[in-house]
Amino acid sequence: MVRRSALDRILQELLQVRYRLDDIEAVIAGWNPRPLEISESELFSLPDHLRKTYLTVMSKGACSAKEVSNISGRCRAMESNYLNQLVRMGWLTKRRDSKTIRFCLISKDVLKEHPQQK
Amino acid sequence: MKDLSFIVPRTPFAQAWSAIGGLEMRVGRRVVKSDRFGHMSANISLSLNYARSHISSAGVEIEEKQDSEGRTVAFCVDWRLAKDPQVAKHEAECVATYCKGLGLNVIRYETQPFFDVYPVAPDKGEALRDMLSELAVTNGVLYLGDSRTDNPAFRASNISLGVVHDESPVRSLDCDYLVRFELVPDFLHALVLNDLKFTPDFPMIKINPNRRRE
Repeated sequence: MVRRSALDRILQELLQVRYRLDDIEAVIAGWNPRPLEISESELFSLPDHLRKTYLTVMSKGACSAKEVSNISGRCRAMESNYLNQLVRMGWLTKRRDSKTIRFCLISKDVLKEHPQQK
Repeated sequence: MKDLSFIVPRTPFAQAWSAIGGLEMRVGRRVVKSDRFGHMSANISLSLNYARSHISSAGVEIEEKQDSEGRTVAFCVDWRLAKDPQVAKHEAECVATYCKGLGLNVIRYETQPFFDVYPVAPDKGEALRDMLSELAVTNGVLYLGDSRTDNPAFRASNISLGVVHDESPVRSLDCDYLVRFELVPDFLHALVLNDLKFTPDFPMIKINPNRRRE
């Protein structure tokens, strides 16, 4: 009886996992342009403070300095500085979304147009 | 170790399945077959006929594992419900000996009163790698298993979690962490709440003291 109810609960929880994965997939599919795949060894070439910022943008998708600072716990001005450094280094691109500047991962298309980046 | 016709209807949450010890795989609607056992399929038919004609005890079940085209590629001899377990065991052992003589793989499960017969040794690690390759997944793989046959898959995953229940051989599980069967629903719930990020800090997760790999 205990086994049966545990199996029923496992089925329900696995359905929840599936729904969450579908949500994540839908978010990633909506990213335009598609982000560039970066290997772990390349990521470690970034200093720790910039890697933290980069990974935040990587997990969240296009976001502003304020959104990154809310996640990282560092002040907005500092995150803005790090994000712009990453743009200059060719790891991120930025675009204006009305009054907000949004940072997102550099895509393969951008690399083709500007091969000197990254 | 079950076939697709058994697993798929019972797992509506899944996107991909590896069945019959990795001999057949389904990703979405596409079925991918292993080419490792082609030359042994005739011996499976021979041994299945032998089992059917030599097992006469009541309650002994011969469960065929069929591929998506309905061909029997493996089978299980199960005498759990036999009226006379001693006679049933003797007859099953005769079948096992015959199968081994044909070069087939007989897989036993500790002291359980059943065994599986496969054309080639099933390798869940290889099956997992094949599936990840089909799905183009290279990282972030969490594998749950409860028997020694899961050890190769534990090693092929990034995070391995052994499920502990009354029949699981805990000491021989080569996994990173352990979770009790009754707590698996709580673990999955915690995983969803944590945005599908595993952490050993979940209260139901224990580090496996018998872990062998580095």
